[in-house]
Amino acid sequence: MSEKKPRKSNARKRPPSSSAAPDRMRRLHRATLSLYTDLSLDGTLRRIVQAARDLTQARYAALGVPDGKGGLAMFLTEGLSQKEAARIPHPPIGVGLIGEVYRSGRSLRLPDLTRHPRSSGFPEGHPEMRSFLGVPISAFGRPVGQLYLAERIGETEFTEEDQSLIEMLAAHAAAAIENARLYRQVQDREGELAARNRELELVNSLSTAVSTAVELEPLLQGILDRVMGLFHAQAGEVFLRAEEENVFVPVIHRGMAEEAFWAASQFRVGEGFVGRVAETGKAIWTTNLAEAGEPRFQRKAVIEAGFGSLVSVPLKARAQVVGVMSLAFLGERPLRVEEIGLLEAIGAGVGVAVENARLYRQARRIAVLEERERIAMDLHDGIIQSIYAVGLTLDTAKIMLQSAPGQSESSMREAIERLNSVIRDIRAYILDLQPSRMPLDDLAEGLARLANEFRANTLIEAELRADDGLGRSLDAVVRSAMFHISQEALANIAKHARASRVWLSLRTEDGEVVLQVIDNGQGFDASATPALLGHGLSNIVERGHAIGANVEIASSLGDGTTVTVRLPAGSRPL
Amino acid sequence: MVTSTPRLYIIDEHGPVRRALADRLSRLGSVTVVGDAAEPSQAMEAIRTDVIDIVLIEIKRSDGLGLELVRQITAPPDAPKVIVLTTYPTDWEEAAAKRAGAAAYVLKDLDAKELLRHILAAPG
Repeated sequence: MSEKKPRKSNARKRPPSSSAAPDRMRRLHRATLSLYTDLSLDGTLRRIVQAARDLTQARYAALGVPDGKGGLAMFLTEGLSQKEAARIPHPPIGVGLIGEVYRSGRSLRLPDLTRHPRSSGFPEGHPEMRSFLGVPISAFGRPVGQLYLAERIGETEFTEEDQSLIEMLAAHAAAAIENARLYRQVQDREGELAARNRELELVNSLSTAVSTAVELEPLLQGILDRVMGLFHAQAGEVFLRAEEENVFVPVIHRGMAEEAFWAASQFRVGEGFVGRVAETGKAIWTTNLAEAGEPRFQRKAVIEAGFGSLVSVPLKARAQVVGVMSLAFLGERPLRVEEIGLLEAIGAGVGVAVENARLYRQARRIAVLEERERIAMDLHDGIIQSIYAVGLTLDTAKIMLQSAPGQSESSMREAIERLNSVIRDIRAYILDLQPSRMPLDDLAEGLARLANEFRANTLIEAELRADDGLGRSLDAVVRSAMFHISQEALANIAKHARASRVWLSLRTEDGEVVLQVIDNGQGFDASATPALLGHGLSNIVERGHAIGANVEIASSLGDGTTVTVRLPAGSRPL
Repeated sequence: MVTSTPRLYIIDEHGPVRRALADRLSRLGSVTVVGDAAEPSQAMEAIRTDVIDIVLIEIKRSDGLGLELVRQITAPPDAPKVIVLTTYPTDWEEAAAKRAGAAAYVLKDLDAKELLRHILAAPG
């Protein structure tokens, strides 16, 4: 609608002096806004030069960025034709008037720059220039660049108004340049951080992997290779704490001069680089290996191989130094604080990996011991005791052979019967000891196999009922636990129950998965002999609890035993 | 005639072993087997109330109370002598049994006369 109004104001003639200034201020404002449209440094500088040239109506404009050493890092020009630009033999080198603005930090406005005492003249081929305006761009008192304008169009020289406009532009330019710089730094930093995160992720995933992997050496090798690659180290090594001792022994060396590194067999806590890292729990580094540390712990062969820089970081687990990882560099390799930080972070990850591997070894050792103890105890419980009793009975029968032949004969019959039962026990025991060949994906199939084996070994009838598909639908941990519970229950029946029939079932009931093993054997008085729940039964209870199931063992004398495992819907294995 | 044969009590979880031991030792005549038990409570009750000179105990128990039983039986001033019997020996178990107060640590072998000799010869 406003367009339809008569354009009276435009038609009216205004004095040039009063109209020019507001118009130029608007243009300055637009120009300064445009400085922030994109954050690339090159683009920002380019727009500054263009704005300066437009605002002052100069034929030529240029922007120089100092390199901090008295010269120029960048020099952008506007207004030169390609031909003109091509004739100029070299960009300005920062002497003459360009140097003058930089050094004084003040604006310089001249009607004829060639007459200035500091003018160093133009190189051959440079277009002729007379009027000149130079304005420094400074941010926080620090020069970040200069604007140069030459050849004012329509005037013999740049005006005071030109100068103040460019000075205002320069203030905005300083902010824009700083912005662009910061932005670039943030971007660089982000790239660096992303790279760092990738490395940390790697370490993290490696130490997670080690909780399932057992072999520590390949893991350490992999990590050391990656870290050496990241830091461009020529050699790397890992020392680990010898178990139960304050000694660190080398376990891995990668890279150059392997012989030289292996020359030192071990370090005690406090000795040498490795020992000091172990003692303090902090990283240590040097760029002058030959002069660092106590001479008696120096590895001369390493220095002779040309290594000058070394960084050693602790491998930590639960605030304990479990090992030391070192990177070695030929000659002098300064290390930044962030690099040390990254190495320490990696060290913490690797430390956890080392500790995990150690715990795994320990657990395995304990498991072997426990298994041995269990076998011994089982042999005691059933087999040796039974044979001992049979032997005593036979011994007694021998004595009674003359005096009471009838009694002697019945004793012997009893002994033979017991020996038969010992044989059954041993068979059942072997069944129990056999490595469980649990089919990987179907519990029902596993139970069927258990039932068949049980039948063959004990001559006790075994029957299995399983809901269709249920054996496959269960979590692997649940399948395995239920398989072992059934195996244990059957072994108990074979050893103790004197049963003639066994029923196994796997079904869902009210949303619960229910596993049951029932026998018709002699049973036991569960209430009177809680302590007598032998290894087998307590194993069953533990295995059940481990998957979050309720375990019920019901029995009474003469009435058989029922083992019931109920896994509530939605319960997750611990 | 006053019987001077020591009165002996047997603690073992395995029923046939208890009965066969009682039967065999009784026939040797040098001891009187006055009772046997599998359960700690039953055994402790009998030892407290009856006159018992020697307790024969299998140290390996599924409830793990073997050593504790030895300690409790030998604790009172006029405690019976405790002979530890076992199916298979371990060094630590023998040492622990002796510390708990056992007078002897004897393997379950079939020579009953040898066992009796150990029982009678043990200090206490």
